[in-house]
Amino acid sequence: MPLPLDLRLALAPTGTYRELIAEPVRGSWLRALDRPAFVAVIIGTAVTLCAARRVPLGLVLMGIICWSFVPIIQWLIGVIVIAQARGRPVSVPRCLELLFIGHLPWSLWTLVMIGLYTFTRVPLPLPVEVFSLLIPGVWTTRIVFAFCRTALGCTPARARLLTAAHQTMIWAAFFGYVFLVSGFWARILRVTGA
Amino acid sequence: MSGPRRLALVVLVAGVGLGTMTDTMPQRAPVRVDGYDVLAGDFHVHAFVGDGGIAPWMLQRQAARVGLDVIAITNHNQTLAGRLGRWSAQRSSGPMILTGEEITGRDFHLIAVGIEHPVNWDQPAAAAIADVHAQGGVAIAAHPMHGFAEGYDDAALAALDGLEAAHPDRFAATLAPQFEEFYQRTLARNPEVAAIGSSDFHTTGPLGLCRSYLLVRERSQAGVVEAIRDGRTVGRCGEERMRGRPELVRLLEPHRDALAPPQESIAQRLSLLVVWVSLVALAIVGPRS
Repeated sequence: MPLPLDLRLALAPTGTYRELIAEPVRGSWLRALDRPAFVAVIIGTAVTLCAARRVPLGLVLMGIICWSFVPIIQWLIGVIVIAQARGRPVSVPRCLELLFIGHLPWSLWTLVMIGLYTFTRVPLPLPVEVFSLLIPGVWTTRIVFAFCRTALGCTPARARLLTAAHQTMIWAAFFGYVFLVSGFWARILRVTGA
Repeated sequence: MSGPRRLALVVLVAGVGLGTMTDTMPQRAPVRVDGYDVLAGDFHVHAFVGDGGIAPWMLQRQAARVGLDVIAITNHNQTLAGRLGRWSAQRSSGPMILTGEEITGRDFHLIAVGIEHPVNWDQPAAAAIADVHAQGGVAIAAHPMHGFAEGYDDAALAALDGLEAAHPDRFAATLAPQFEEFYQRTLARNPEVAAIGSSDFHTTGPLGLCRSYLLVRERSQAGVVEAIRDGRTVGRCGEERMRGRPELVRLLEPHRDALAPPQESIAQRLSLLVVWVSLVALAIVGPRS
């Protein structure tokens, strides 16, 4: 039995992306949206499960709607990066679809962390939690680089640049959100003495 | 649709269906002691949009699920989520939602309950407490341990209405002495200070893990704020002992079981497991070949 596409791409991104762009698929904006919607379902349901420890339909649906801002931001960052590649062999919607197929590392990390919290109730030490971010971070960087090389048709140097830009925007959005909602500015001011 | 994908989807729907069918709201018999109604409250709750996992308009039902009578929504340095939650709660019956915020200053974290507008966080703790009082609210020292409580000088400690004596961080052996030291230091300057139990709920739950029991004259925001201001509260985490003024603990101990949080049923736990497993499977197989 062949491996599922998302898993295959996560394990061998370059070869899988080459196969995918060789397929005669035009891609549409509707298809470019269903992958982010799928990510919203995973994140929204998982966060609701962990936070509420109940999964009634209404609460799950509201969780999905609320947390859909995460794939929306990822989608917008994807559009910015894709727009920088002029000679790409596939359309923008198809590129977005291909980019989101590489979401497995972050989806799995989210589910593993939430599974640990929900079923063991043993909080991980903060340094372990932060360090664990490196796993999906590095894994995704490898996938995005393969995406830039194949789906965007970039040279290695250009692919490195776009990968760095993509990851910088993703992490900036992540930390920006955390800083904004957790009052972290006060802590920074304290540390800097400003 | 492939077999594994269809199976994962069916299991997800089954899990959510089971979760919906078992989503009961426990009913607790009213407890009265010494002429007061006893309410269970959680006054440190973060909501979406913020660093909380649940939307403010969904928190009233969540509070009912875990047997709370009142919560305060206290996002960092903003009261919008609290006002949204209160607005929504006023349109249905259930636990009270109070507006609040976690004033996140440079060297102190302070819970304000019963306020309308955000308080300036970039000022000394005593001045922030005075601003909370000026709005008719009560001020509670949040997780008073290293890194969050250095800004409480004598004036601030004397002005506090409450402090988190029961908080999930107290479970950590290294942090518990810091909570106790702050509690004793505050009691020395402010003997009537209310002992508050709060879950500091974000996304990893559960809401009401640590909670406060309040002896109120009336079931209203005014009644709750008055009980905190007068120190008629005790805090408790899970099955731990109650913390607070000994005479109040003695009054409430006989009602310990009646006041305990409701237990999750096996079916509710099973629904969580089924949904989680199906999500892992769906993430791996993806939405499409």
